[in-house]
Amino acid sequence: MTEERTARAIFELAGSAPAQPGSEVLGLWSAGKASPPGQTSFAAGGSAEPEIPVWRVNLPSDAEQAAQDLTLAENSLARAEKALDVAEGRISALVEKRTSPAVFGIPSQPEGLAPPEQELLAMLNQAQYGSLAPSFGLTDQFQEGWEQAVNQFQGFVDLVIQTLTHYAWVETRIAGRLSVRTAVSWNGDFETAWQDLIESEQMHLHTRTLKIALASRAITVRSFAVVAAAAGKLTALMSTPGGAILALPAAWKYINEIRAELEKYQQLTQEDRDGQ
Amino acid sequence: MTDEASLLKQTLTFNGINGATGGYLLDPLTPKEIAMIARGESFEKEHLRELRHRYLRAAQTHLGVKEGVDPKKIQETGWGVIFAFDDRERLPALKEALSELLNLRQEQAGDLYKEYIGVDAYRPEETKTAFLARHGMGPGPADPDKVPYYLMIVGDPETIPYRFQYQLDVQYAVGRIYFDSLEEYAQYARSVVEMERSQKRLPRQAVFFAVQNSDDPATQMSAKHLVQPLALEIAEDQKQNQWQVNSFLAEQATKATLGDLLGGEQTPALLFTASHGMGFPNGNELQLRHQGALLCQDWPGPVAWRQSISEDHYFSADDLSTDARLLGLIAFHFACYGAGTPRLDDFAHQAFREPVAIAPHAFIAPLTQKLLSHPKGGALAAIGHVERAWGYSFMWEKAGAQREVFRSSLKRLMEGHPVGSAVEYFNERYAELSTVLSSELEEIEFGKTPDELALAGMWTSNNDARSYVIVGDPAVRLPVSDEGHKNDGQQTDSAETERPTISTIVIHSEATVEAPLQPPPAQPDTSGEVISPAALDYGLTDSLRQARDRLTQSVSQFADKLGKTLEKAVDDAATLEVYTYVSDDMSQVSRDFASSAQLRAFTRIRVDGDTEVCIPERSREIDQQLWAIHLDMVQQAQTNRAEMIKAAASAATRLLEALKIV
Repeated sequence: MTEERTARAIFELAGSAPAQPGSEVLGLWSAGKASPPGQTSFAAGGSAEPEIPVWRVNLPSDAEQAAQDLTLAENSLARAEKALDVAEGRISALVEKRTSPAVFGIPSQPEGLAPPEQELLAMLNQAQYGSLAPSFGLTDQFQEGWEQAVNQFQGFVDLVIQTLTHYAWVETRIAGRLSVRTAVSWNGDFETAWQDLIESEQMHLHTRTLKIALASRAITVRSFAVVAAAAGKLTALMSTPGGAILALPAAWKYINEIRAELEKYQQLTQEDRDGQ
Repeated sequence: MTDEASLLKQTLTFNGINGATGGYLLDPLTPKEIAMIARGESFEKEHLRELRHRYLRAAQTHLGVKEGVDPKKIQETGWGVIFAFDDRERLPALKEALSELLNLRQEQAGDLYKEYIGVDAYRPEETKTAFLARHGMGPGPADPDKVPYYLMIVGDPETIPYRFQYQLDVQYAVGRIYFDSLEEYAQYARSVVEMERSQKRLPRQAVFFAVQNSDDPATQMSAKHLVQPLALEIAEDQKQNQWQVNSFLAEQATKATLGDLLGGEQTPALLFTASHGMGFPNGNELQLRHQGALLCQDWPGPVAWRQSISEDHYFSADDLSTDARLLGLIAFHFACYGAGTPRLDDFAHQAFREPVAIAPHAFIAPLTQKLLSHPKGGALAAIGHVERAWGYSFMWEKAGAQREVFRSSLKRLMEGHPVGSAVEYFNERYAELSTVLSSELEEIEFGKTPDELALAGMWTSNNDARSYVIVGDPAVRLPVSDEGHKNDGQQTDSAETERPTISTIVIHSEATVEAPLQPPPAQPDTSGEVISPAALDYGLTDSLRQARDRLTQSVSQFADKLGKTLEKAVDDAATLEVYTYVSDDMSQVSRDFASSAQLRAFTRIRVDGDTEVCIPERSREIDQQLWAIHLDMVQQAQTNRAEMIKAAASAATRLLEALKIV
């Protein structure tokens, strides 16, 4: 078995501030480097334009493995999208529950809530009272979490802005070699350059890569919509001025945790299946 | 039948004088006219159920709070403060200004202390029933384990309407405060705390002040049939409790005398006044300053004085001296608008089914506000009337004078009940009258011939009884010396002969709850307590404030870009272009595909459906493989465009909705 055959696909988002430093966008795209030497032809004047996000997929030369990796990526994106629906529903339920007559306000005890909800309420609590007062028995670790969430959310906003204002570059590399590149303007115009005499199989791999990259962009923008709506709902639990603004990073963090929860569930299910 | 009852039969009079014209606020109405208005009355079913329950319960001698709870003990009754959700941005500043009072009540009420803020706060347009239901309370006696019996509303009557206060007051002991500046909130809070925490006590002195203007049936009736006998009854009743009761009636009830009773040397612990309250037309420059001011004996009466009322005739907030010594006073003003003014006229609303504005906005009587928030220490509470006060408060057809509600309330107050508990008799009367009135109206609806006089009386007295409110903390009580102490006009624990005062409060910030009409005078006194500006900045820590600012900037930038993108999308939506190139050396493909690769296929789709296509050939034949992949790209491009526009539009919509909530 050669090295290429055993290598797995790498999904990189280059030339863009990652939404989550040290982690992956939508759980799929890791922060990639700018175009490697010799690839500067991407940029006008021969220099790279790091502000243009490049969605780069480096596939193994084994076509079967490549197809499997793309299938996993498609499934992962589907879970990311599902996480948005789940998060919307759970936030609505949470707000409804917390504003019902039986429960009063954020400070009350969060028994029976899942960890993402507990953490969400803790963050709102902190924003609400503007202090490091212990909440739910947890202490100042929340301030750190809060700052991290704000930074991550800002990175996410930057990514969405880039998505909405720049071309997207989608590249498919096979065993490290560029074989196709598509430039997609925000309004949907496509320009694709193919390696001459590219094999039909590789063509189809790129169309799948392109679909994954474009779906990732759309989910990223949709994520912002969900975060904004969630923050609006969460203001019902806050009396702090600028409540919706402060709720944005908390909502963003919450949605990521829901997605991670779904990923974890998928992983456990897969492990169970593999074990049988 | 007494002469006065006969008089009532002819015309219904009320206590209000139009300051601009010198005439009555409303022409006297005949019973027939009032009955017509009454028949337009409608009752909220839930509220009516509550009133009936209240009435039946009162018949069993239970007042307000549930059985087994002593209304004199805050640790049993609980105490709560209700803020408006709409005031959330200034909530931290308000709480800081009121902190002394809130801390005191928290100590006293313990676990039964509640702050209705945030999600628990009063929500716009909320009824009393909805508010209580949200907090686990339905109809019935106040259950302090669920909602405290003493409830202080903090908010102006536009944000938390008088109607909510009237309704809540049926079941609970409710008061309201609202001031123009944070200093005034802090001064009021300190006044209450000063009298409750210190051992300083006032002499047991009560004063009855009754104006009896010439040719004016309203004040003649209130002086003769309410105040004069009431003062005698109270004096007799409270003699054993060593209360000294003085009266200033008719010719003695001048503005100068009232000035002496409101901050001067003769200021008592309890002051009861009965007079006309000043009213002004909507928009009149004096309305927001002087409405509810007390018209004194100095006014020659409606016959002798047929022009606008002089400021020399009435006592307004402007007449309250900066050196006034009011601390500890509880005042009861029987006068039109003595406690406040609604924005809409209740009478016109009932009669013509359309709201008629009588003021630019609902407001608390400025005299009352100033009495409570005086910088030297203010009154602890004032009881008064919102809207017009009527003779039916103490006169009843065929039965003559009816003072028991007043007498019982004052007796309770003088015997140590908190003011909210003392005035339960007014709420009970309101419940009874509403129940009887609604039954009568129902009978009429089903064919009974109305007794116009009775109906007019019922409706007027119902409206009248409903509109008594407490301005101030409903848990305050008269801070008088213990029974048995000599009534020598001195405090029990001090050799001082002057009434106590509070230390000056200075808030070093330009922040005000709402911009006062006139900025408060500079307070250079550095010995006073200082509330730091930082404490007024909504309570956010620096890190959160910075986070909020950063986020606001990010979101603003995002919104700006999103707007431009959507605008551009509309412009660019006319066509969709898909280009397919090939290159034998992908590393040489530059940003400009056209110059660095070979165009093999092209599709341009116009919004009107026209399509331009360039088909790839290889060896003079269509390159089927490339053409197929090109068509796949076209399809993806179309799908992608639709999805991205949808996602961006959704992001814009939801962001706008969220920011609207901010």
